[in-house]
Amino acid sequence: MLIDGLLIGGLIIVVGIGFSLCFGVMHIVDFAVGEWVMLGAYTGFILVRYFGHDPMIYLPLVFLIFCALGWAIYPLIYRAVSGKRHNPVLMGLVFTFGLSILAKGGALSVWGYHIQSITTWLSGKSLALGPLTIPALRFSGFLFGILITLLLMLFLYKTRLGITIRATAQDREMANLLGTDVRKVGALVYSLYAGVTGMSGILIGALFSIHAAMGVKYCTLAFFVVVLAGMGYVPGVIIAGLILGLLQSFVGVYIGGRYNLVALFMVMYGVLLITPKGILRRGI
Amino acid sequence: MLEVKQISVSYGLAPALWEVSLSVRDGKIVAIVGSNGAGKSTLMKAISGLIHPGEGTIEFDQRRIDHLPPHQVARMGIAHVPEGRRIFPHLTVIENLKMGVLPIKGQKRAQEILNNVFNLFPILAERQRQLGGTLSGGQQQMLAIGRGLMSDPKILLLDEPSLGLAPIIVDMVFEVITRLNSQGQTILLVEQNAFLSLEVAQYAYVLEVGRIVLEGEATKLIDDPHIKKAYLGE
Repeated sequence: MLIDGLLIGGLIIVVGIGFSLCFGVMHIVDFAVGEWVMLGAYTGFILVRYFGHDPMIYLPLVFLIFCALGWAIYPLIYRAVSGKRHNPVLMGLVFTFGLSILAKGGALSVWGYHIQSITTWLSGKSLALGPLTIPALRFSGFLFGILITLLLMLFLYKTRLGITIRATAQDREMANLLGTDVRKVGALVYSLYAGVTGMSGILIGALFSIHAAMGVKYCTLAFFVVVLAGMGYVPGVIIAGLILGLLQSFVGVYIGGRYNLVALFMVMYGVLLITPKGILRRGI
Repeated sequence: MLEVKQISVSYGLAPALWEVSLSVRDGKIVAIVGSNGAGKSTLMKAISGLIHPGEGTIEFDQRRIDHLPPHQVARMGIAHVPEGRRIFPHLTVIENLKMGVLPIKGQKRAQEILNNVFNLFPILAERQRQLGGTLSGGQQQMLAIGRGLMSDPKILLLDEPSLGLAPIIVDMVFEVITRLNSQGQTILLVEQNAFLSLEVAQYAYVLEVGRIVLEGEATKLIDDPHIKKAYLGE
């Protein structure tokens, strides 16, 4: 069960990192994060239905599709949060909240209330690790999470572009003074975030189920992870994601699955009261 | 090289700069002296594109820059080292310096400049892997100047480089300013410490409540009775 929690954590981390980057660099709290997951899941579902093959091979394609979508939507978000508005963070919140409702409503009218699922060749299989049996799909979701996280961290910490992104998150105006086109950095981050989140949607859709309202859950989880990690502090997301995964499975087994959200919010409330900058005290 | 012509800037209804003109010629150190709130930082921000003047023009190398965004101004060769140093606290010293490099400059040139910066500030070479936020104030100022130099600027704008530093560090920073200038670096220096800046500069402007009230050769301004009374405490 401990393992189970850690396994779910892997995917949550991926969603959380994008969400955290987005806040760190652009000060956008993206309410539509769950809808990116939902749309990613549906995209995977449709690709499988019309073209066949295993959903796993569509991961890179979905990544690209959602990168493009993020890139296309970014100018609108930028307009909402930049310039003369009095409260850009609130504007971003309202704007993405609108996006989220739009996406949810759209999905509902196109696909209706039916709950769909994606089956992969890994579904129903399991791995035996000594005395433990681990569902293969969960394990691959975890591996995927770790892999994407590692790639993102490598990108952020080892490349010049990554340094620029971190610098922009720390002091946007200074980065701008040093010749960085901060608007382009924002577009890049948003597109990367949309791509990664959409791509995780396929795995989340394969692990659980797909329906128009599935996003809310992941929005809550992303919020939780990022609050725990400290807003905008990316490395904290990894620890927070694992804690969240563990918390969910413990509560699920010992107290009951329906108390999951209650437990989450209690922990979140506690963290905000005691250490509002996150458990590692490195948030903004 | 840099020509500021009759610019006026206001924040809301409060005017911050009033028909300010100044020019900086190649290879010179020009100082802007004035007390707190005189509009010195506002003038620097107008030059680097952080704010756009309501009236007047700013030309750099015969091209108007007063409506360009900061990153384009920077790419033309103006490096603004702002007040308060503004080091990226969670980046290492070397990462901070790398942020100063303009992509258009090329690897080899960047390495040369880096060596020059390490030459000027050996402490930065020693602390390359340390996080910017953990440096002392003096080291942060050196890093800020070094980061500004990494773009190989045609002109370096220094805003209050002595602010909050121990006297011995201030002397060191001003020594570096003189040394950079002897290597041919053009510098526009804004300082509250009038005496020090008039000593290193060749030409100076005095800014009071948003207007230029006096200008001239720095050596002559040092002896000006108004300056002596208002800024040198004599």
